[in-house]
Amino acid sequence: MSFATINVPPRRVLLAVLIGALAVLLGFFTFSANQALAVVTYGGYWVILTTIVLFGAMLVRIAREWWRGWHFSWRAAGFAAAVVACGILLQVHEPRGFKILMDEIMLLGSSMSLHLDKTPLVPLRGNDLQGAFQLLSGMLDKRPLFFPVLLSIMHDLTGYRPANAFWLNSALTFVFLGLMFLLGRRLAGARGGILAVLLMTSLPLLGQNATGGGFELLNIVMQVAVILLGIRYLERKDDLSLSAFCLGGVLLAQVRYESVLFILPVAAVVAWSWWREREVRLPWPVLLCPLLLVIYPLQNRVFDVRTQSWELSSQPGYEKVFSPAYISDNVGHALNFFFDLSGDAPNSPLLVIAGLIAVPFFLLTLAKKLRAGRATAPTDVALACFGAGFLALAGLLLCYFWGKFDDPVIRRLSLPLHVFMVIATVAVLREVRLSPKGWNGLIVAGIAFIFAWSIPVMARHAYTLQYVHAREVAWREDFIARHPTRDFVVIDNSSIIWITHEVSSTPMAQARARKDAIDFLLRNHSFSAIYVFQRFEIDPVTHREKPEKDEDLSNDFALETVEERRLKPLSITRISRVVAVKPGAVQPADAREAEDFAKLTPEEREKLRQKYFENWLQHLP
Amino acid sequence: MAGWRQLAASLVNDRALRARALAFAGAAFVALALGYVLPNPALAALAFRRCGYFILAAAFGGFGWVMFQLLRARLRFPAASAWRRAVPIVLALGALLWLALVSEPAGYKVTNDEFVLQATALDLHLRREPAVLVRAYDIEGAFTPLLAYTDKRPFFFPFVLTLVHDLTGYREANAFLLNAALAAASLALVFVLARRLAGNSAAALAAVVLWGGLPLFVQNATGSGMELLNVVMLAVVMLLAWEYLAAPDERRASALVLASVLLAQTRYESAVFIPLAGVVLLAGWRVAQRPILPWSAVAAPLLMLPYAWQNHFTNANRALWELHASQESRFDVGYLARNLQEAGRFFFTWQDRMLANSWLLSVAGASALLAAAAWALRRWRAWRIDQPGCVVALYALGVLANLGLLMFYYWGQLTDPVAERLSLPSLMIAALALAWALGRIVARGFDARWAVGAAAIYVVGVMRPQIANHYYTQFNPAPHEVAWEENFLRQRPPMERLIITNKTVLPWIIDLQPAVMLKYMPGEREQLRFHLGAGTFGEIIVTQKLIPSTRDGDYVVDPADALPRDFKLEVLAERRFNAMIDRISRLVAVGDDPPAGNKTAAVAPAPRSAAVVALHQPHEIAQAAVDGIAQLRGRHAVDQD
Repeated sequence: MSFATINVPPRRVLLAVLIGALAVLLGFFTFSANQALAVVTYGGYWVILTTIVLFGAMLVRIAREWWRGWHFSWRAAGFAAAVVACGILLQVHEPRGFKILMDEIMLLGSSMSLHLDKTPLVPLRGNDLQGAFQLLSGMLDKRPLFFPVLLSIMHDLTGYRPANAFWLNSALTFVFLGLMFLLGRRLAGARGGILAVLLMTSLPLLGQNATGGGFELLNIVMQVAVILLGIRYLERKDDLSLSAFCLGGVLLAQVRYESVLFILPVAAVVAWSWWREREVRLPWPVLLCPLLLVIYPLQNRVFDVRTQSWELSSQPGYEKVFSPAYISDNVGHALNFFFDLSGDAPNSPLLVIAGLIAVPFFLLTLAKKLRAGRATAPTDVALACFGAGFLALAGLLLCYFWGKFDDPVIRRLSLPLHVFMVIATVAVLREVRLSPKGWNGLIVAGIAFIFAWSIPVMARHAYTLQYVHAREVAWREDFIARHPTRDFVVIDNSSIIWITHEVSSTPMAQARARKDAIDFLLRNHSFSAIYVFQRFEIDPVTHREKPEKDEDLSNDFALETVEERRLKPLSITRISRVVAVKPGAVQPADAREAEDFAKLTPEEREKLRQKYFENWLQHLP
Repeated sequence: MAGWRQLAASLVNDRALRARALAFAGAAFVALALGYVLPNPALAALAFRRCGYFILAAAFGGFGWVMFQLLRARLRFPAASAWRRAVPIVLALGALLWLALVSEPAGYKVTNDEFVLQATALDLHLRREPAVLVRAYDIEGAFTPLLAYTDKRPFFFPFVLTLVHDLTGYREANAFLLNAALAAASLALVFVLARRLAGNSAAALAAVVLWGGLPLFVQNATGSGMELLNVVMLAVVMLLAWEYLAAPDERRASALVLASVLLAQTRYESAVFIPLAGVVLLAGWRVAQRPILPWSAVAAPLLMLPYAWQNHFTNANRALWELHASQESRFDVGYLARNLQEAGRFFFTWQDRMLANSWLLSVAGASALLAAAAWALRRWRAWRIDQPGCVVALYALGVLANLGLLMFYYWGQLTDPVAERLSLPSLMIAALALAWALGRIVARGFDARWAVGAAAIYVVGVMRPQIANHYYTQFNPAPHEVAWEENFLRQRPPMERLIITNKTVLPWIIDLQPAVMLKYMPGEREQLRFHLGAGTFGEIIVTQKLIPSTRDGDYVVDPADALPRDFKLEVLAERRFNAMIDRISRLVAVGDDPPAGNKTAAVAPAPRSAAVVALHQPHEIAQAAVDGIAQLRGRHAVDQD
């Protein structure tokens, strides 16, 4: 049977082609880089919100259908309890906090601006001007917008607080485990579902991200949700399932940069279904999908405007972002992470061994099943398409210059691959046709492994504690909690951290360049204090401390130590207070006008106040 | 249907009715005489303070009893189908309330209004007097009121607040809890009214979404002002008028009359709804074809006595009018042009972070009002007040008349952060008009769910950022300053304190903390020295404002807040608010004699680390702007215990 025999509604298809062409035109050819960023700044929120609303509406309709057929059973309650118990296990061993810097802070910053202005700008300047903390400038971030928009909705619903990011991820943990159970059950029955949940729970990396503020959880939630919706669509072949599936794919593409790859499996599943049913179906939400994706290529132009966004400079010796030449090195790093038995890495050897054994069999089995053509089971088709997607993702990450899974910042990128390995394991076990006792044995083994390995590793969470930047952020948050009036300013190269916590802040370079402004603010008591957050390295021979690169505030400032901590050997992190700008560093202020002040009328004083206020604004960091 | 002549005849012929009519005339005469003619302003104030609470309590008690009887007859446990229909509506209203309450922290939004209301409620709670407590000390362990003044604000809100204090114990936060409850009530009442006008739940919900998403609504839902009680009472009165005209009887008439009496004592201008209640009452006579004159209506003029006394006293005391220096009268045509301009800016600005407005609600509401007016004019011959729906139009006219009156008021600029709240009744009417208009459109086949969606998108996209920033609240430094001072002192060891404040004493008094005003302290030298020596207070705290003296800052103590140089102060803390610095000091010593000479103070910049700072200031301190509280205090008092 060829494609020529497929029933094609000509008007719908023509419309789809036109919409697709328009999306390509808008996404790639219409706007200059700066215009594209402006479109994302002012329209990005609305496009993502529209997609969320449409997707939510589809899910509500699906939930209604499910609700009509639902009835209580103790067995289902038991499974739900197991999922909740595993979710709790992942939540309790690490304190909630920012785990990956600056990623998570940038996402929080975007959500803050989205909450306050509906523009996804990471705030670069913010100050308490007239009683309210106001964001004064920001920049469009390179990270896709779905997570910040979701987080901003949470701010809208509950009020702004940085910790909302952690609570969102906590909620997503339970959703993820629930979806894994559903997928595992779909593949190999309820015991398969439980095993899938246990295997994921055995991964401390999941626990780290479940208590963090990043977008990794949302990414794997959407991946599993889209796979499930794909299976539903292939089984039911209705417009509702198709719309939910496609909209889910659109949202998945806008969680992480590389998740856009999953558009291809979504398209493949839809094409397969059309081919199998000999009919092209294009409900209106699906027609809209290309337009809803336009934001992604437009935002990607950030990399044209700011080439440093690739962060090549952070890894010396690399010139290309992607290259096959990196594969061998990256495979070594991946194996180093997967099989690290020190307990300092958030890995799960059980999951990886099972997964690496299962994946080849999984692929072979699927290849065999696909030979059945149209008769291939929906689950197998979806698994084949998304399996290919996961493999492409693995290939892309291995070609990435920073694709080293044993790097503390990069480990999280392996989460989708862990999900893939769990899916492959459960799918292969289905083919083995294990007896219930065999399944029970595996479940017991999974629980034993969690207690023997995962819980001690999570309890130590050395992988988080060894990451100094995260501990520094926790210290900053603690400092802010101890100074709740937030009426101080901090000179810190990571100024965004303070600004997202509604504290005025400025980088070192700015303070060095504006000594006069610091002196002005000090003289006029504009802030209760001006603090400096600095990192020093200790010379192992002389034991003398020296500011790290870009952390030197210069000798023009007199500093008084407030707190200091040794977060790693031969390093000190210090919070100091600026006591004065040393004489000679700035011009002394002219005090002539003060003599006549008492003679001024109230109106003249008000004018003077306004003049001062304008002057003060100019001196803000 | 009986004509007016027949109704009048039955009023005269029926013995019982005739007695009631005569009693009503007598009560009106007595009320007029007792309220305005016989007493001088001071006596009126005394009567207000001695009897006001009890008269209002009688009106409130009567209203509660009548409502209980009305609701008892109507309340039924809803059927399952009604529950199913109600659940989405309740969830939507609950979500709107939740959004309102989490968007701004509960706190004082309009100063001094809200402090005055709290202080009045405190005095009502402690002494049953509707007066503003401005002087009280902890004497032998008991917080003892010593001085209060009669305020101009109608006191139904303080009355309700004091009921909450009576029932749950006194705490400042009761005012915020009360307003949260009133916000819920207002959402529900606006929905019920909108549902009746639109005849369609979705259309009503669209209007309520715009009302609940209004930044001004959110600001007041988290404040401690009387505005929400005003709109709640207005909605209650409209509903009761509707109910009365639908089936006129004595009980419904009583409920309407008593609710109107309470509404009239919620805000100054709400007294305009009393004549409207009279019109509705008479219209009900035609519907029922008999005169209806319950005893509550007979007593109504007497129940309005507190309003009359307070009004009489306020009219005689210019200090209470809070006029600016250049202003002579409260109402004048000269204010009209600017007020209209600012009203236009308030209602029809798309997005201005400094305004708590809603462009869509104003535009859609105004369009709907115009459409309603055109619709009514086309049918003016058939237009009858005794049709229940028309009662909303009547009250809408009352609200618009109030808005019109506001345009002649000296402080009627709706863009002013303090005056914005006066637009709330108009915006509620706009929401109701919109519901009516949507109902007409729905009748022609329009799916009102689209309107709900559009309203929700507008609220999420345009209103939420405005609410999230709430600059219109945050840019008012006074509540922040007071909160900072209170927090700072809370962190110090607990002890007896006297606060010498450069602001109003009210925030301290309602926190049961003795406080006096700084500007009178040079004259209280002896008393201060005595108590310093006697150790009456663990510490005497002084708050002052520092202002920039040059373009480069060089802060000095505001001359209005300066103390003589022999008042020795120890600076405890300073914090910037806008371009000003708020300073908290401790009074260490007061010299024996006032320093000689009348020289201008050097107003020296405050060294942050100085342990003891002598502030040498002139004796003749520049008088602060007219402050009603200050004017009435001490030697300026016109009414004190």
